Amino acid sequence: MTDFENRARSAGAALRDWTPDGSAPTPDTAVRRAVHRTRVHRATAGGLMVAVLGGVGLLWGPTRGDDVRTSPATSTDDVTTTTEAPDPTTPTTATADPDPGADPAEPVGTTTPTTATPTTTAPPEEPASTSCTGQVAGTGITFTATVPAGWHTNEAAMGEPGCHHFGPQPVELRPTETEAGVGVASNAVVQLFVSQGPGVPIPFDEWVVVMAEQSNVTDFRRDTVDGHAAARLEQVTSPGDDVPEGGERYAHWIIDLGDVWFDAVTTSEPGVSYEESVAAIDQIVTSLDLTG
Amino acid sequence: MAAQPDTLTAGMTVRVVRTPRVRTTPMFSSLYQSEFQPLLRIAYGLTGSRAEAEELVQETFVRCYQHWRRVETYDKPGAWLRRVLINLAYSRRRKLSTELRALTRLGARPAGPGASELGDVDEAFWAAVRRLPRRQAQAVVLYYGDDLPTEDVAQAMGCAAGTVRALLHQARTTLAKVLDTEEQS
Repeated sequence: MTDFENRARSAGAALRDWTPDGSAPTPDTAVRRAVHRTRVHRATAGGLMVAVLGGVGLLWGPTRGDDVRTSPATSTDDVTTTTEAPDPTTPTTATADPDPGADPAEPVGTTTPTTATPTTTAPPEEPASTSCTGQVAGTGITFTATVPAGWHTNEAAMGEPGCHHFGPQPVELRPTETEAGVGVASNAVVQLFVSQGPGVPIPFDEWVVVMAEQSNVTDFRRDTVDGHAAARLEQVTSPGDDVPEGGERYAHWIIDLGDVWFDAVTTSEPGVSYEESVAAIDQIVTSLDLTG
Repeated sequence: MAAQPDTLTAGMTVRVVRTPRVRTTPMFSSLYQSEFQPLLRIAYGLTGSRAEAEELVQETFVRCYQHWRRVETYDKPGAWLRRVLINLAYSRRRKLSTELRALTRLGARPAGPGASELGDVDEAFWAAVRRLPRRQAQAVVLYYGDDLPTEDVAQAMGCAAGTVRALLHQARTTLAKVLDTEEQS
């Protein structure tokens, strides 16, 4: 047996002998998570059904938008974000005018929802959307993005800029080991990042043609985001790429900002359905207001 | 501890404990008990982080429960678990490296490694394994770390046993060179 083989077997034995101290999670923990996830998926599907039925009801009901009168939001001097006016087809939601004092040049990555004061007695409301400001790394470009209703974004921390990670739960950044050292991971579902720095190796138009022909791309379209050329695609992994059965789905936006490409990506994550993730990424990206 | 009264009377405070409606089948619990530690070691070999390893193993069992009707019919559910685990580990690494690329462009400096669970020599070996190409690293962790024969490694990886032997050969060549260089330096 060679020295290497001895060392490999010794390292293998050390790994098998390793008995982690502390209490291990029980089977019930995994089962609860599985059950919760199934319920969330069912609730999402049920919510979509209710929304569809509600939409049908509105079509047959009175004229839309006449049901509720709402007041504008109150705002404070240090608010850097705004509450968006909700869909007029949702009559019980309080609306709020965008804060005219909001300054996109405020410190990057802060998010403070503006207070919205309903003037009607209405059933419990859906949380309103907020927006956040961020900066495209390596450029002088700043942006504002809508944070979907009920979702959260990250504050700048650990070298990671704010307004880049979005999720239905409060976004937490944490250092974690990777193959290239230690990076930052998060519990976010949608991430923004710069995929191509200065000196992009392939023109955007050529890349678009190549990507549109990939066999695992299930949906592809060219688009524009705030006047910049962009592409939106959805992919599904092949068996063995991710889970054994394959079928993991990803939605991806790429925006051509000239010197850099600014990307957004999402996939199905625990506690949120793929459909909700896709709706969120589409809302975030199409809301981008790029300046500079 | 105060003795529990046998009967309820007026004015007595009663705490109602609602038991979560969770059905953990005996077979699932048995599989969990027997496979949790081996899977945790595989995950640790692949990630080098206990916290990440625990999260990956939990997620593996979540998916196992979600597919339990199918998994319980398998002759070797452990092979299915290993396959899910190594794919989840790869998926996680891919996602993290996406974020890391963004961080690198921001000029963020990676911090130092986390606390190690094994001795220095063995940690160095598994750290070198993690720098191998994905399939080679998976084959090494399953073969040396989980002590599986190549046929079982092949089943867990979803490939032929000959492919596993080829991957192990490539990995041994690379690792011998890397570890030798590290020791000399």
